[in-house]
Amino acid sequence: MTWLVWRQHRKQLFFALAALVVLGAFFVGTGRPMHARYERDGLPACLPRAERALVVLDVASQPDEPDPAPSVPKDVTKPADDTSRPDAAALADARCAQTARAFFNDYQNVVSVGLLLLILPMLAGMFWGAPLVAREIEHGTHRLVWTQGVSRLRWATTKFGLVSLAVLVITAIYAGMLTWWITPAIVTSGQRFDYVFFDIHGIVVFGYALFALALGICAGAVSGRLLTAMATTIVGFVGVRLLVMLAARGRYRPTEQRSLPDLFAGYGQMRNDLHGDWIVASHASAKGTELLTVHPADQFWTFQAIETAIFVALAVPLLAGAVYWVRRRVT
Amino acid sequence: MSGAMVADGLTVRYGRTTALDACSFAIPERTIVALVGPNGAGKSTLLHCATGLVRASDGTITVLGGPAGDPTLPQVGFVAQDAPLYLDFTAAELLTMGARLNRRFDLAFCRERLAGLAIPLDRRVGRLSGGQRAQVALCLALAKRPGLLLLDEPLAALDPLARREFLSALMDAVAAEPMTVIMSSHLVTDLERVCDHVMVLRAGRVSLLGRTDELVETHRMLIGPPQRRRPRIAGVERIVSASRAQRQIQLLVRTSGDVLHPEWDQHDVSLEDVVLAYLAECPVEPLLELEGAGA
Repeated sequence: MTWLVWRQHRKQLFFALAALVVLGAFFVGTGRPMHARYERDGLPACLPRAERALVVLDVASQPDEPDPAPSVPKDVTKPADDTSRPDAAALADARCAQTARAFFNDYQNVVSVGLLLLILPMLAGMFWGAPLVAREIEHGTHRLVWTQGVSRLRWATTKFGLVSLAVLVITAIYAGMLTWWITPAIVTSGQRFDYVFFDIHGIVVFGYALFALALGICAGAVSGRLLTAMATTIVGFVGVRLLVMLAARGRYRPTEQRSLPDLFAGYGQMRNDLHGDWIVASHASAKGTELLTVHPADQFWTFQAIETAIFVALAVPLLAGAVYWVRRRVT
Repeated sequence: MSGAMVADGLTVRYGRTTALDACSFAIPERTIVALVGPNGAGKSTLLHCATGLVRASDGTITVLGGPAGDPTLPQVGFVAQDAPLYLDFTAAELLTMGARLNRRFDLAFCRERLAGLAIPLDRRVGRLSGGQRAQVALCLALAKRPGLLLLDEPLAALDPLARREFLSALMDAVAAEPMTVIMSSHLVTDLERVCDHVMVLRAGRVSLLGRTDELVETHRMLIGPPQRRRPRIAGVERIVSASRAQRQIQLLVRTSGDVLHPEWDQHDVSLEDVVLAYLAECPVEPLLELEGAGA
């Protein structure tokens, strides 16, 4: 059975590996200059500290010499951690934030290619999942393979299992390359919760790929038609992804409130975009401070885990349904 | 009842259409059965039932003494209609597949057989001729050393020469190792030369099942004057079909003894005549049971 799966799907596997090589070449080609600049700008060294602060000094409004004390009006309260920190450090954070902003601006366009990668997991469903059962039925070869000495249950579980495994391995390679490539852009953007970034890297990619595959397999097993199965995969994948992204993701964890000091009180401070919180809402309070409703940046992996779990939880019954349909299918 | 394939009230429905309607029959072992019927009569459905590809909506079907499907599949060789094969596989790869998916699979037999038929093992099956593909499919089914071999329209796509080669290959195999063969066709003439039993399916029902020699012996064509009512003729068990030709009528009858009636001319019939009569028969007659079907 393993031999048959290998023989039938080796072409798809080679094709996927070739696609990985092409993608890898693209990642290396565009990623190396990006990483070189990232290092040169000193971002790896300064970011870990700079991204913890909620607010940073606005470098443009600072005098060249770090001597801010005389210009600070007495009624402005600085954030707690700012007061405990020497001003030179605050200024370093501000410079770091500015460098990061400049870096991200320069590489925004390269990273927008990442938008294309949003649909990549869907291709696993269309070209690996949908044909798995549908093509056998369209070519009538299910009557050949289901009348050998192997039960349909074993045929289905072996086939689905091995193909899922292959998809997960390919996804792992892909996600590894992609995460390396895009990390500088993510950390300098401070928007790790943005759908461009959240959805294309990390562990959610595994969930999406598995879901797309299961959807394709199940649609093929039920309909027995390749085109129907592929169309169902596209519609189902895009639909469920949008639904989860727009309706569910914001509710994975309760939001938290943050209050920022009044940023417009004549003193050069600004919100630190590097901080990476998912800012759900923002409004000025009566005291003149800015109130933010956020999902904190450190919840990122919790969100990724929940989203992955949702898609795996959707994939499992789809696969079980496909096995059920293969077994009870009337040819 | 025992036999290579036994059905009891076997019914298969696809939605609202009934493909097999309460079929009961027993096909004895070591027979070669021509399963004949028009398109849509349920031939494929019956064969699919025997392999477990289709499940009975009602009634039962047993194969070689066990339930159809996974438990008996290792002893059943099956070639589906149009002999589906993975066209991008070479013949050798198909044999490997057979060997890997079956506990019992005679690889050496297959290689020898295909070599004898001059079918290249290293060529993609998609590039073989239709006749060669049918031979590869047959070979795959035979390599299981099946007790029951089911062939669904094995000759439909073949030219006359390929048909003859296919049938002689089949007969060689049967001679070498006794097994029950059930093969479907919409024409009995295709299979007349090789089969010893005929089963006629009509609109999901078995309208005839019997030994070919007995069927030819026990049926007569009677030609006589027009009748006002259903004629009662001594020695005629039942009238299978009747047709009017000018001032005479022709009856195809099943006899229970010698027909002695001066009004009627008697003629022998061919197997094809009998089968055609049962194919055309009105479905009011009760089903015939298999009679005296010893090997």
